[in-house]
Amino acid sequence: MTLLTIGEATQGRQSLRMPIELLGPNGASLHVVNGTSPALLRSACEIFERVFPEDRRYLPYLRACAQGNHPSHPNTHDHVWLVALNGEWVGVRIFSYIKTRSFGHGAYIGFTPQARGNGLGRWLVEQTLHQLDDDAKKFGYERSLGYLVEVERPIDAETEEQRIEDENRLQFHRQCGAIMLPVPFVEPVMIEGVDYITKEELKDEEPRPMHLALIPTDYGRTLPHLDVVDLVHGLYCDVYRLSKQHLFVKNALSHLFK
Amino acid sequence: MDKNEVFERMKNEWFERFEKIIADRNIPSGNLKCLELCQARCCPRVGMRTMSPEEIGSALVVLLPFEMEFIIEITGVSRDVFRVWPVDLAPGLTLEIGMLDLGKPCPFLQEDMLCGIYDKIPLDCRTFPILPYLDPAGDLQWTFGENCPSLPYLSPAFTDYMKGIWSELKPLLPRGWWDLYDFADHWRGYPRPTESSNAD
Repeated sequence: MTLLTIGEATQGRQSLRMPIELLGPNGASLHVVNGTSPALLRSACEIFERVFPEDRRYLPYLRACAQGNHPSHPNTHDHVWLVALNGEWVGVRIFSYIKTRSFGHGAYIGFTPQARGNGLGRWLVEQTLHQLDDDAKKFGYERSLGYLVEVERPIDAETEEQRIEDENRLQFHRQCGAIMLPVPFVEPVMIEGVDYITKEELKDEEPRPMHLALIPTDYGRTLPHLDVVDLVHGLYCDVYRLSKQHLFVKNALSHLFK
Repeated sequence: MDKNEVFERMKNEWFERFEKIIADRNIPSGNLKCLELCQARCCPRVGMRTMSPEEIGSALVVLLPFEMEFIIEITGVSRDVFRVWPVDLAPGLTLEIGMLDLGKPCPFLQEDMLCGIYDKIPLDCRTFPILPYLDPAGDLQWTFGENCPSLPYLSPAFTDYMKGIWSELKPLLPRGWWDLYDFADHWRGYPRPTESSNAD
């Protein structure tokens, strides 16, 4: 895949105040996908389908996130990034700053097989943390704690191949400094009340138990204490828009309050 | 083998390990000066709620798998005194790990600040201020409780001995347990205990 739309990417990023590094290891480059660039959005969708073929039904979520402030995501400021290497799109990143909290949510990070193992993932995580720090300031916080990420549990894998893949994914997050939150976390199928995916389209999906981890910023790493309730409420109530009385929310925190 | 049999076998194996540790009379002295220098800074108690972070050695104790059951069996204490936290081993197979914290303070700490079960003390208490953790690669590493007033006196022989015990246990402990152990000190906001029977 050739970068035919690089000019549009440049045009798009000029208007943004970005503390992030646009150039990464081995000549990789980062491109912001937003509503002003239909070609970049198409490329983001294509690379998403290649990297996450099993999640292609969530493409409308990517498109919504590319708008930055979609009405169905009232509590988050969303980002979609593309990564290019050697003239090809090789990676995609989708994440959000939770406007009501001092942290974010990392929804997707992935690369094509040939681009893995080059340190691009670590670099992209660092740029995510920089962006979240910048967002935190925008929304009235001094800085960001980091971001939450849901990670498949290797113990749930149905095949050895899947288990190894899940282990590798978990290992990647650990190497990025993940602090595992030992709460029983179940990932909802979708954000409540969105207008771009119907329940019918997701009828075959089931909520899944996942690991919940915080990828901390340098500041988040230095904190002696973290507020687990704030973190859990931020993800479940502000991102997924569940009520505090929802079974998932209560289950995640029940052991803390017994 | 059904779930109950699996748990029963695991429980018996862990109980044997605890008995072996308790029975060992060759543990080198830690050279810790707890009575001289400390007021139980590593025993979770209600009074810690008003202490500054620098004054606290450790605000919680994370027990090993089945150590809560072992302590219940040898002391007769109620299960309610422990915070019980799940660690999933496999879908439908969950260990319940006992913890003591500022919301579930140590029921064994006496008014004279001595431990009521000192000869059967949990491994996390026995080991303090030596704190094991797994690095991202899963290798066992060590840190030390910096707020322990006795840390400068900690005996190398005791440290080596305790590291040996943890090294033996490492392959037996699920990663989920290590994640819980690692995260435990990050928590805050424990609910107030409904009653405080421990020393304050």
